[in-house]
Amino acid sequence: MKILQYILLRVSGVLLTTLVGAAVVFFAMQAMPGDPALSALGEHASPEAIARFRAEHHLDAPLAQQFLHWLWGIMSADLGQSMTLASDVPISHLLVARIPNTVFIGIYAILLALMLAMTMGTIAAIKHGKAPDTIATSFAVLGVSMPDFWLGFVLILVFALTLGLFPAYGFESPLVSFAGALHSGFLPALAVAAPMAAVFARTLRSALLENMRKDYVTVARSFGFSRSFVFWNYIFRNSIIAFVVIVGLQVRYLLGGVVVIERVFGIPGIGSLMVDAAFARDYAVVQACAIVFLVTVLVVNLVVDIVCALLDPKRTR
Amino acid sequence: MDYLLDVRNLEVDFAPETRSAPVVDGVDLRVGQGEVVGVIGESGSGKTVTCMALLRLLPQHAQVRADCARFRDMELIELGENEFDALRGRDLAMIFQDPVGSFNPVKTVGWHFRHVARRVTSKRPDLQGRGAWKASAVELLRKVGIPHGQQIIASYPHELSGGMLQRALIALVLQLRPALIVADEPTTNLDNIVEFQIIELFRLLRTETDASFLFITHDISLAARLCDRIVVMYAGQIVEDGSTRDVLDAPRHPYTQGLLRTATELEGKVDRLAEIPGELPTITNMPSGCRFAPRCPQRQAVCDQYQPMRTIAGERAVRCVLADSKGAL
Amino acid sequence: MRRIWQSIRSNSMAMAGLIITSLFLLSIVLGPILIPHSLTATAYDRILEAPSLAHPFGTDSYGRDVLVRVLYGARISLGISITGVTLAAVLGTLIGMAAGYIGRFYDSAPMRVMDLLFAFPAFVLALFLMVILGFGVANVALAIALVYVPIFARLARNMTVTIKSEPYVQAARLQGQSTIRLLCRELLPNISAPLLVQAGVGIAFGVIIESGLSFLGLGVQPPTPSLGVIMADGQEYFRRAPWVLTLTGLFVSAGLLGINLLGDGFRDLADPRLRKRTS
Repeated sequence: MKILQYILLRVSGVLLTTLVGAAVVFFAMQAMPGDPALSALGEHASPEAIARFRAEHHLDAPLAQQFLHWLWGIMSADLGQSMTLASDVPISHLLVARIPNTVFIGIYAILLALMLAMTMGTIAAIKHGKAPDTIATSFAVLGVSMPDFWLGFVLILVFALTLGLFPAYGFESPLVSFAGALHSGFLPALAVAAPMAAVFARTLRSALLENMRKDYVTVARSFGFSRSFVFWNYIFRNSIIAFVVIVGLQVRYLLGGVVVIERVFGIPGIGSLMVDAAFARDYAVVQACAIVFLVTVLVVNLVVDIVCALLDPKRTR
Repeated sequence: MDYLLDVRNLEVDFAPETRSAPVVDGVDLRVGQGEVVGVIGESGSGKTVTCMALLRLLPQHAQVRADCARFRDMELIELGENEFDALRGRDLAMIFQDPVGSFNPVKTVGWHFRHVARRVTSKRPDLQGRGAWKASAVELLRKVGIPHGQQIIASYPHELSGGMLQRALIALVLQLRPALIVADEPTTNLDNIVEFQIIELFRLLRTETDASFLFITHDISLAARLCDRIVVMYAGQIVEDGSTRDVLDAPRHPYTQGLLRTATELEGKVDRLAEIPGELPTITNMPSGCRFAPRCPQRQAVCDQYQPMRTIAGERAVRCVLADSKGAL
Repeated sequence: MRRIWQSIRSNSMAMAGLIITSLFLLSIVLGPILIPHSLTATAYDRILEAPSLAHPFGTDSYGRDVLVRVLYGARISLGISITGVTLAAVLGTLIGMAAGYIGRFYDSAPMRVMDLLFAFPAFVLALFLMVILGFGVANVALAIALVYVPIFARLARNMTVTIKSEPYVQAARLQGQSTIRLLCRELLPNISAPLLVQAGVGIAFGVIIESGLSFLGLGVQPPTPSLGVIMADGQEYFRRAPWVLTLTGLFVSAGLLGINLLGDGFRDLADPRLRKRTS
């Protein structure tokens, strides 16, 4: 029962934060100098055209009313029209077309990062102080030192241009061909995953090392439990909680990485949409993308918190 | 007498390359069938390390040597890693100081019972079959003074008190039916009333099971209530060994005498040995002769030389030059 | 000071970090002076030359020496990052210490704002700010500051809450020290070490944010040669001359590796669990 209560509380927290976040995004955009109508239609637009544009996009109403209108739109999945980027296409259409790609790359990257980190972190902890530990630790530090888009280009240079194993540019939507998406998405996902894997591996390593020193490990050994049983059921099982917390915290960096990497590999996702919109000064689209990212982070953190609660009996009982 | 455990000249060294003294030095330890042996000493005297070494639970960089370490008819030193794993828990078990830290915090108490039971199912028909461990666990919990075992089994460690967990841990160890139970200060982290109850439980267990106990404590009055024989350790060495009555009535080593004086003066619990001036030497500045000499009120010139254990009679032995001259005490 | 030096010497990774960081800074400071090539002079007869002794990083599409541009660019990028992180550190620490020390409403209100900032992906937050403020050097620094304010605020707040209840702070309060004096004399020195470590690591990540924004064309604008701008240049002729982008990134990664290794060393030193109480 307690866990349900906890989930309900957290969900309402997420809704509230989204609301406040949306307000901040909206009013920050309004505080910006310049007239969106002018930037959409150009400096020399006729006054009539400007008036029509302003009426269409409800720009003449009081700010609060504009906000409520916009908010109501968000709830009913109507985010308004794109102003300049793709003239008069509903923003929700743009988002729906691109969200699967970003979600796919994001999850792909997380899974790669988890696999890399679990292996590196575990080996480093088991071989603490020896060569494999030093190598894994060095890789971890190197991972956070590389700009992810640069890593993307290095991967292109090696695996696409030189070895020809993966495409250098372009992306096949997972809705069209899942295998194609796995293949064309590998390099971008790896570029995003590497810095994260570094952080994950480091966390896992220190959590494992900390738990290896715990009294209950000695006690478990004194019962005659085998080394592998003690490792998985005691050391690893207790380390995984801290690990999941870090995974949740890193999602905000993961999504940041996705934004840049989508541009590098020409993936039509939310990140590249946001960048395109920023160039085109299509503020409604920038707003919408910011909200999508905000909601994604909040939802992932919610899931992470619930997983943590399930993993840690101290939180649920 | 045939010993269950017979260890001679045990030595544990954590940093052999440095010139510091071994943490445990020349320890002889014998435990008979069904005997309860108390190991007494201040914290840092090496008593815990000695027991951890017996169960091979020390970190890998620790170097353990012994002339012999016989358990039943096995030589513990010669056992391979897997053979020792099979022995640990089933024949040699340990109860630790901190019951709260002894349990896996993310698993229920029942989980511990279930997996401990799995260790011994092959030799125990009563544990075979699904859920058999549960009945046995509840029964054992009742034996250690917990009537509502069902409820305890479903609880997580953080939901229970330290005293409750220590009882549960003892029940876990009993589930294994080991031949030798090492209890390392099992009551130190508990408050006085619970400590009393746990000691009573041990007194009950020594009559009800045929296990032998190695009971480690810094509290000589606890050992007096529980043990058949007492071994006093100081700075990594055994300084006195004898039956409880002999050691308590006629202590031969000045250190034991000091211990007893403090215990009787404070009437019970002793945390610091105010009666004996000075401090325990550290491994880096260990005296080359008698290790107690710097604090000893009866120090002699000869104490600067190495002092071996001197057998007085039968099992009674003292590491002190005064034991040589009859009537000096 | 001596304690810090000794612990760096005993930690080979931190020592490597110190050496790499020193070399990195030294090359940035001295390099442009020592290298005989000009930053801006174009030479159309030597466009996109491969790395050679004369041009270790090759030349770009205007025939300019890439290495000189990278060294200048590192100055600019590092300058932007340091400005942004310093701003964030000062602001975040003030907010965090005030929130942690005063507590109640003053704790929850600003910290909820920080939580909100924390809910945006770091890079998206920076990008969003660039759209609002416009592109350019100063705004990139502001964007980095915005990303780091909540991190510093949280760190400062949590440490302040912990240390506030320590006996020596209570004693100082009972002696009638003023709040400002108490915060500066008793609290700040005790929370500064982890904040400084965070700042070091933050500067490294700030460089990555800068180069990412400028790489997309949303940050520093050409002709100002920041690291991101140089790499964006390199992207345009990546297939013809991959070395421009590759070597620039390698230089950045090496420099940041040094800073991060050094930061790790200090982190071990500043970790309250590993450190013995000094004051």
